[in-house]
Amino acid sequence: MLFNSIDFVVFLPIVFFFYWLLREKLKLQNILIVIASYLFYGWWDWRFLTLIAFSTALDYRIGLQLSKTDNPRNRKLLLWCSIVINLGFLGFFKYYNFFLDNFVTAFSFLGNPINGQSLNIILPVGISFYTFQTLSYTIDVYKRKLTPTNDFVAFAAFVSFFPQLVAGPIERATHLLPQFYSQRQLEYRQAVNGLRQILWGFFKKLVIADNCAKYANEIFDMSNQYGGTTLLLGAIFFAFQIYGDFSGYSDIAIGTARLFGFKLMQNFAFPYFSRDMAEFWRRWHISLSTWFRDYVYIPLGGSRVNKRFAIRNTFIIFIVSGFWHGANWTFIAWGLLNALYFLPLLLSGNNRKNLNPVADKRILPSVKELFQIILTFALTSLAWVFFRAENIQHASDYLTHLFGGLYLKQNLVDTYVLIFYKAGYLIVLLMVFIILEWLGRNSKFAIEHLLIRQNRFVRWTFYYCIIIVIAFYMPTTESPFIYFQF
Amino acid sequence: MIQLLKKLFYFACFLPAFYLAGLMFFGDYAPNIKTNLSNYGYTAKRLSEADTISKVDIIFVGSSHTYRGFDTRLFEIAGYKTFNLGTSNQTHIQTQMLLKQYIRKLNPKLVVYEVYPGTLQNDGVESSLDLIAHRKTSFEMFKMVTQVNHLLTYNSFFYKLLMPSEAKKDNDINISNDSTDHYINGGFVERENTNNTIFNNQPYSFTISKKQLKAFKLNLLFLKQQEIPFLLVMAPVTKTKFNNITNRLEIDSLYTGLGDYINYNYSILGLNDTIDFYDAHHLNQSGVIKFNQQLLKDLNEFSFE
Repeated sequence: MLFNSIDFVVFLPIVFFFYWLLREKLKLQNILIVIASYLFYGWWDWRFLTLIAFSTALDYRIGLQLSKTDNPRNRKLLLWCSIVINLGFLGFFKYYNFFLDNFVTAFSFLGNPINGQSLNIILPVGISFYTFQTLSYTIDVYKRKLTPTNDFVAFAAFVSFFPQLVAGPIERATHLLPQFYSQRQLEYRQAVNGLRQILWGFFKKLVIADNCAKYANEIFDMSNQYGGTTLLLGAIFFAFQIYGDFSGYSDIAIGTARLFGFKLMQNFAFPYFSRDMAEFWRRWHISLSTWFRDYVYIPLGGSRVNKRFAIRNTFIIFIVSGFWHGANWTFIAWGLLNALYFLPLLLSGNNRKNLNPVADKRILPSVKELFQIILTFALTSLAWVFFRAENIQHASDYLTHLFGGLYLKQNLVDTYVLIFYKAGYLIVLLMVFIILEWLGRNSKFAIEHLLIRQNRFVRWTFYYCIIIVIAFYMPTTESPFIYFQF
Repeated sequence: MIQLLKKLFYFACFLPAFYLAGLMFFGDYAPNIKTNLSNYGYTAKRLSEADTISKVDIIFVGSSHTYRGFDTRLFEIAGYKTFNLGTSNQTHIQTQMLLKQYIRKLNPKLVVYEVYPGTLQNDGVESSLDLIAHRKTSFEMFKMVTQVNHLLTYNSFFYKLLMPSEAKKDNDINISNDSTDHYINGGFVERENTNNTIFNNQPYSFTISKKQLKAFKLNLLFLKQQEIPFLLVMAPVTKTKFNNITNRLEIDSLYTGLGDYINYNYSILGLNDTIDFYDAHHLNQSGVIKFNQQLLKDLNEFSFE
């Protein structure tokens, strides 16, 4: 079920109503969450519910077994059992054809052609997200950071919790699981805040991301017909598309969870206002970045090792992160490029320089900060070209055309027509969006505290305006969230 | 919970007022409001003409296959007074609105209902927008909008309702500039004898929408209640196009079960895919003459007087 579908508009109030009807009955509330979550997921394809159910049962069992043994060898065996099986599913569904195709190509290149039969595999929606979530449980139990649960329903609800099941935030068991043990309260302020965040999420997805997608798709799909400035605009549109799409999803997920009395972690913290790449990665897809940091980077030694290993660890973390997104060399190239961006900061010791909020206690950024923000955004947007491209050749052609044809006269005319005749409304919307995001950059989401001290008429008028802009500007063809494919 | 629901209720109560205010002030700039569509199907002209006439022998309803397929002049020569109520992409939901608006006024002895199967799978948005753009708002139109149930049609309808003069301002000047099209009194649009160059050999099928099928059946029931006979007709498309429909037998059987039905794609009209069509869907004037002559012969055998 998509958040931006009529089905969800009907589904959410029904679940909400029954959930709070069972307010004093924790167990029943958790059962309802599991049923609702399985329904939510099964709406897309019920066959893959067995995968989630299997992962849930496996990790629940392994968690219990880990609590019963102190033998390090047995504990390690149990941990690896969980890792191999969970990543095995992920590997099969997501990477089987990729590895097969590359092996076949490699052997053919070496003069030993082999036959490989590609399989027509459907990628289960959200498999990368819930796999990492269940793995976090087993690893934390193994590391004795978490007491294994003996409440199967709570654990099943933790794995399948529908607001964040298919595209995160990837929650840690240490943070989310305990919330299933305790009584939830419907606090008025929390619920209103949740609704506000859902509204903002829909605005980001339906207005910003989907409108940017229209032009980004057109430009990327016919990139060989456009000149430099149009391609530059295409890259910028895609940067806003992916941000609006994914952070919009996260906002809807977090807001929905709030309606049920849960607090999910912040997944995006205004990443396009970052002053360097290190700050960008502290603000972009935080739940995944911190997952890799805690379960891969730090176990490898992180940056507190000699320079050679620190560089190695940086490359590993970025390449794995890229590969997590999809079975394509473009994602690996995207990860690699980000590692290259990050490396100078690491080597110069500047990777933790910008920890304070940008333009702290000021309305506008300084000229230096503005320059840093623009430079970081430019670097990020160029990297997104690899992320969006069909293959490496496409990305390389795109960038060659982009830099090679910046000053061609006809190209400037095309860009002028695009900006002033076709996408003019989108440029205005983007400017309004950037201003609102800037004003709310110290909150969890842009409109969390915006106008909060104004009277109800002003606040409500503002929310009505957002709803009206959605009704007037959202493209009317339904488009799924980009991160569903991951 | 009660406090939250109460606030949500109050919030929802004021929403329509703000929505309407939004339409008034920003409707002109919103891409999701389309009330100034070009008049390439001559809908405004056709329906304005329909408003001025009464009592005909036959009316034709359906999509562009209708207003480009039934030449009212040929029927007049044969002694029938006819009117062509076809509109661009007209689906059964729009046919419903037009029948209800015009059936009493035109009081036909027969309705020729063109049933290209595409109209059974179409969402009806394009045709609704065409009608909203070129007609006055009415309760029947509102019913059509709710049946189509699409953001574009809701926005456009309410905008037209609130700002009829704003919504209308571009319509009159956008009459098709295509010099090969000529509007003929009676609702027909004649295309000069340009030839078809579109040949697509891809097989395809039609998925029948429950909503459209329901509207179709209701239209036939409405005609029965009015005691007006009807003839279901599938106008010819190119042989290539027709033969590529993989579920054509299923569709024929559906139509046969609903009333008198003639599929002119099986008739020996002697149509040539190149010289009798101007595209894969539409007959040019040479094709229209061949098709209408055969239909007139069939009408002579079809008792409706």
